[in-house]
Amino acid sequence: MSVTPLLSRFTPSLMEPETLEAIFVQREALAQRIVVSIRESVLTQAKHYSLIIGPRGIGKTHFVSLVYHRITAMEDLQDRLAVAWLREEEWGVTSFLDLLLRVLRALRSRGPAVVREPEVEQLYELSPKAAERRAAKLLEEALGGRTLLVIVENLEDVFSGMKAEGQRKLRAHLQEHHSWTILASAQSLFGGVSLQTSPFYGFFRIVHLQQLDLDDAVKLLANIARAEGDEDLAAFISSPHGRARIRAIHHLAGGNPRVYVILSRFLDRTSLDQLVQLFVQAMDDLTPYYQARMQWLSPQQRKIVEYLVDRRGAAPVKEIAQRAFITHQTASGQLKQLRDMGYVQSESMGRESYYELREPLMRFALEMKKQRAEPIRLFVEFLRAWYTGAELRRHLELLEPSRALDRRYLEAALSAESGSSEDPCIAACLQDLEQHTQHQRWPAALLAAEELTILRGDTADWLARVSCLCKLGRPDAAGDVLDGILTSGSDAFLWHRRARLFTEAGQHSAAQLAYLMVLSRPPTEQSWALHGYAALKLGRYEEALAAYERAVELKPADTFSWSGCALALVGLRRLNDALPPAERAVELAPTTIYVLAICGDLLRRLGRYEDARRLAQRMVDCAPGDDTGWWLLGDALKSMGRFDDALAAYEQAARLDPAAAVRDLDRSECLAALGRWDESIAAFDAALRRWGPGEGIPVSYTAGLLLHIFRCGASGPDWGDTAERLVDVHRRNNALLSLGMGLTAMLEGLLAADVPASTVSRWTEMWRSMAPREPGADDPNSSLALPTLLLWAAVHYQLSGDERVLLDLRAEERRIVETMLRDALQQPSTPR
Amino acid sequence: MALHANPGGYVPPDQLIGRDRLIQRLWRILGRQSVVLTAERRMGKTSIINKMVAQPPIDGLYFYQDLEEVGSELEFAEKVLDSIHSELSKRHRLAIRARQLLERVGGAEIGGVVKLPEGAAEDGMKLLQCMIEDLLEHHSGPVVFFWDEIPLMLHNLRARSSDAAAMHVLDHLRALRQTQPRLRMVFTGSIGLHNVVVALRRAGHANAATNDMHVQDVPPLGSKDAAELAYQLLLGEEIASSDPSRLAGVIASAVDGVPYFIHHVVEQLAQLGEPCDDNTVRGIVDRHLTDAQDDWNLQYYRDRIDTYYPAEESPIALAVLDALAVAKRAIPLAKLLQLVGAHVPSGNEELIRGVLVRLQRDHYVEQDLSGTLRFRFPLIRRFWQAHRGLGA
Repeated sequence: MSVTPLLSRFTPSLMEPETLEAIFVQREALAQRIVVSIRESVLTQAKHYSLIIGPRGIGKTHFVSLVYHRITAMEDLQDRLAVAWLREEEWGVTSFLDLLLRVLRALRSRGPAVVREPEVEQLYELSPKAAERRAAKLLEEALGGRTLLVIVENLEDVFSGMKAEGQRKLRAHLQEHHSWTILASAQSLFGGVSLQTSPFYGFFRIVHLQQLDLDDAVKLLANIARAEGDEDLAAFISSPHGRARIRAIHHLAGGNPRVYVILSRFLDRTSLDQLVQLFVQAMDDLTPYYQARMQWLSPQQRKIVEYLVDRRGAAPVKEIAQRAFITHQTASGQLKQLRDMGYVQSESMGRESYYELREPLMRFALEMKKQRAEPIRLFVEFLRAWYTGAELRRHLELLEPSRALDRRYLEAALSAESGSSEDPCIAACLQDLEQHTQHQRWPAALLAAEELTILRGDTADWLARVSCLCKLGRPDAAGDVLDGILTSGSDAFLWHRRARLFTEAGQHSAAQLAYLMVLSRPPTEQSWALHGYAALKLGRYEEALAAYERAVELKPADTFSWSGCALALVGLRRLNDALPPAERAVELAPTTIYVLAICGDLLRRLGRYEDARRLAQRMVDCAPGDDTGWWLLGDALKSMGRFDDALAAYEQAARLDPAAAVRDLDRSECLAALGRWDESIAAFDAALRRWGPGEGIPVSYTAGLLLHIFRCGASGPDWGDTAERLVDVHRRNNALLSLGMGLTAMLEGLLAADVPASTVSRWTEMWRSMAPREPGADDPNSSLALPTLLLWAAVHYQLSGDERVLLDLRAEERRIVETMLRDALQQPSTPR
Repeated sequence: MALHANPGGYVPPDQLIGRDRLIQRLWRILGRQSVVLTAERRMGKTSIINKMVAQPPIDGLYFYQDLEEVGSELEFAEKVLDSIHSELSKRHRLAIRARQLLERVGGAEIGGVVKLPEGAAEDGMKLLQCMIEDLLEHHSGPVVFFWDEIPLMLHNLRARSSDAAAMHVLDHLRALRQTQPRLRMVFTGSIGLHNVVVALRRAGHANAATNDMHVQDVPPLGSKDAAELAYQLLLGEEIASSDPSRLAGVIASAVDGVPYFIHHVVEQLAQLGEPCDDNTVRGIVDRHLTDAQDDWNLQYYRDRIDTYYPAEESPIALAVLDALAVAKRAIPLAKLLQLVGAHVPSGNEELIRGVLVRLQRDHYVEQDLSGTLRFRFPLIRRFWQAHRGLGA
């Protein structure tokens, strides 16, 4: 027979260690840290004193209970440790003597009999002062060299009872006998430990327990369900539906674990009558707890809390002071204390601080006590938080006519919902989504977006989910989500989004189809830019230009459309025409990296290197953490022949985006230009490894590197060694084909070089000798056979004019050489 | 030696870093006279004397006692007698004599605790004197009492008994020091002994009860030692950073080399549980300078001006500190007198000079050989700027 473990909401110290462990969330690292500090205190001379701070219900007793069980389970500490656990409500500790007696009592009730009973009894025959000194001595004798772990809950109460005199005695004892280690807890930081004038100032390692965030709450509730053997509930809690429900109550619980434990009983209740019953029961359960919390307060603080219960919502200090008939200064001081104790939370608006109850459930419970006759208002509020509008309407439809009271609840909740601008569940989700997005916490943002698609399902919700998946590097999953809402009738924006996702996922054909879908949509005022973008991606530059021109006509301040115009004109090889729209975009958005990058690259391609450099420098100044500016700066400097500076810029770009293989290529080119061959080839090797064998390195880079080697070797002694290493690197990376393409692409530079014809000839002969005569032969360099042959033939024909060179080639090879020569000699070069 | 952060806890002598030279110096001084050890709270005074008691350079009798709990002459006598009781017990002949003396004054020993009759304060002090004399007579080495928090005991005596009781104890101890050449005392305390002595003087007790003792300040750790401590803590806590040595230096400098704050910062880095850099450290320190929760209670530096400085002096003290907080570099005395004089209606320059001396004794201010003055701790200066809205 399986036994359901005890889950105590108010006395976790009664729970079994296994249960405490099973439902423990958020604080594992902290627990381990405290356990290590206690172990060190037991096993070495060092002694640690830790104080756990947190409001009631935050999980302090759970925490110390868990640490207690972990420590006492450690075999190697058994003979070296004595534990005295002073329970939560150690009323009546009014002196150091009282504390010593509690410790002695706790030791008597635990572990080996270390305290001699008659001697403890004798203490009662002495004067208090003598008894105190004797008890201290007795305790140290009883310990006999062992370390005493004292666990004290509500330390602020114990200290308050002991007063300054007792505290001083305790501190003096601890200073003289380094035998204690302390794990204490308190509701808030209190003067007894935080003021420099207090004996225990700076004595404790102070740890503030944080309230649970939504993820912690979900884990906690799932753990509770599992601990109770309810796997179905655990699964429901972890589902988007379950999370949405927990998110809805998150603001009711105020991050307080105790309240979550109580609410956990509601989670799988979808029937209204069960919910009503449980709600009332929960409020009944919570009422004594909250009443007790009220009793802990001073009359002035109580008055403030009561006002906030009635007030509902946040109130400024001035109003609170007025209503409580106290000065502004007093109210401010009391509210700060209440905040530290976890009763209220504050928010600043302008120069004013607004305070409200931290746990709405506290208001519910206290209100219920006051308004027994009319529980409807708070229950209605609860229903609105618990159910979505659709769920409320469904319950109402299915309600039997006889359930008049339930009907009143539901109608009131629906009426409140229609009178309100937003559903609280959706509002909570939206708020979380916004915050997580702002802080780039994408996993949490995705969860919120998923819940929104379930609760509301607007296109915006789906798109938020898609965005989060993209940010998490999951374009495939994002595409699947988008496919769920895409129809043939979907608008250009959705198809545009889909196309970009296909591109990110490397599905270029599918992306092209999606872009075609964008173009097939009738353009609207909003979608001209999307049409332009789609046409650009499809290489339909005229069409792109027309669409972008229409877009800027409608929205003259649309920087991206101006940039789009520039890109379309570049596509049409109208570089000079592209510059004005690119510059217009820069005028409109002088710090937008994308816009600056387009203009900067264009300037470089137009040969305006200094202007390009200045723009790139501006990018670097605007966003030093963005690699784009550094990259373009490197390009501009490289074009100016400032290879050292260019190398430094590329290296910075590589540091910012180490994954980009193209940075290695740029570095390699600069290093080659500087004659640093080993480093250059190593960088090229790194690029090849990153690029992988499947995709060719842009041929202009290979050709560029080869030309540097050629030019340098022309004035230096040796190409062969460098060339062989280059072949070796390409062969190892299965990229000889890429090298071959580079060789053919360097023809133009080779013929234009200001070197003797014999040098050019020697270069081609060298390459010819490194490859077999026929491709396909059993030679590791066989991939180079055809490119080296073509290069050799083109150069020799060009230098000698001997047509037999061409005639020796096969017809198709001859045509290629003719094309190569035509391109090299006639076509203007297109800068990369 | 990788260490664990232990803010406020007991640091064993073998884990104490950067205090060896000071300890050697203290032993040298103790060779000729007793010592008053002064410093701000949490500067590490107690750790220093713990190490001295645990690892003395020569054979002797060394007693450590924390006196903050003591509120009467009788309690003081009992407490000291308790501590030497076990030593007496080891020397049988002495134990018998001690017991005879104890019985003569109507006291008793129960389970290692010496109990004197109520109202026997004078007898207690005599008994104490007698026993210390016996100890010295039968032990050829030095006898050193390390009395921690002695200003607090004097404060308690004044509050619960009288100024005369406090003065009586101080006089008695001075007399013992003067008559027993091998007896040494080390007084330590976080509230300056000078504050208590000044108060007693104001109450009419003109005796210079501690002017035979050498006053030794406990400074923060030197930058190298502070960085070493931070480095060992970073290692012990396995805190990830790209350059632990550099980070250690940043921590040491951010908290002016105060060991307690170094432990504190590393503890917080450890609690973060993620890789840390200079900004993480600065963020922690900055938060403490402005946080209303103020775990470090830096507000104390403001509050104690009102507590310990008489009404005519506190505005001057505030004006001095405000002026030093906004100054970009140390201020010459003449310039400071001019600045403060303009803010203080009395215009009494001697009063300002007197306050400056107190501010130096209270570790707010330091003066260099050229006479220029500055905040002693840059950290406190930054707090002062933030707290008083003075800007950088």
